[in-house]
Amino acid sequence: MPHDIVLSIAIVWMMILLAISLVLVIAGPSRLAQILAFDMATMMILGGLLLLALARRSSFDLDAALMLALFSFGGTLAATRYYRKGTIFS
Amino acid sequence: MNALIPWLADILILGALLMLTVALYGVLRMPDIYTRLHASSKTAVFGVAPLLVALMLSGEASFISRALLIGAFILCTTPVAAHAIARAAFETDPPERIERWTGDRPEPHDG
Repeated sequence: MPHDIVLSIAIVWMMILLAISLVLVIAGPSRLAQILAFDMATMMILGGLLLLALARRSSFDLDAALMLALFSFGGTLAATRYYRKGTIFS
Repeated sequence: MNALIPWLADILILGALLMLTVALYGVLRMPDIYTRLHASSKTAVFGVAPLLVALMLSGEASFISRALLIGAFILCTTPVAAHAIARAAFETDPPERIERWTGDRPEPHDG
């Protein structure tokens, strides 16, 4: 099945992208670049979950993707707020 | 016509992966945080949205409803997160002026 081959290639490719962005999370030149790379890494995980849902034909992965999007947004906002003010809740 | 739909989904998946690769290369390549944000903000619209469309093409109701939810949420929150990062960068270290980035090319001379 050619579609299964395309999905397998896509999942491997997405994992390579995720590995590169995780390296960027550790080795970013500044703190804000690390936060940005973290945001991007969650985006890659979200894409991987979508591909997994396509491959397994199950919609449960999409619930996980929705929750991941929610927590990624909250995490980025909290991290930038902590970077700016030194505290999350003021 | 129905036989074309899986191929369309494959094209969307590969295009989305290409755009994600380009965005990650931009984040690796760009010099400062503002230009990096320009590259990374493209992941939501050009990277995740085609994957969601590819999910919707399968035609199952559970996929379509969740894909619509995720798409609406991503499209709303990614600009807000990018703006938060840019605002933190601007407030903690306000630049005098932002230099124009010319990459490897030399500065074009006038006249």
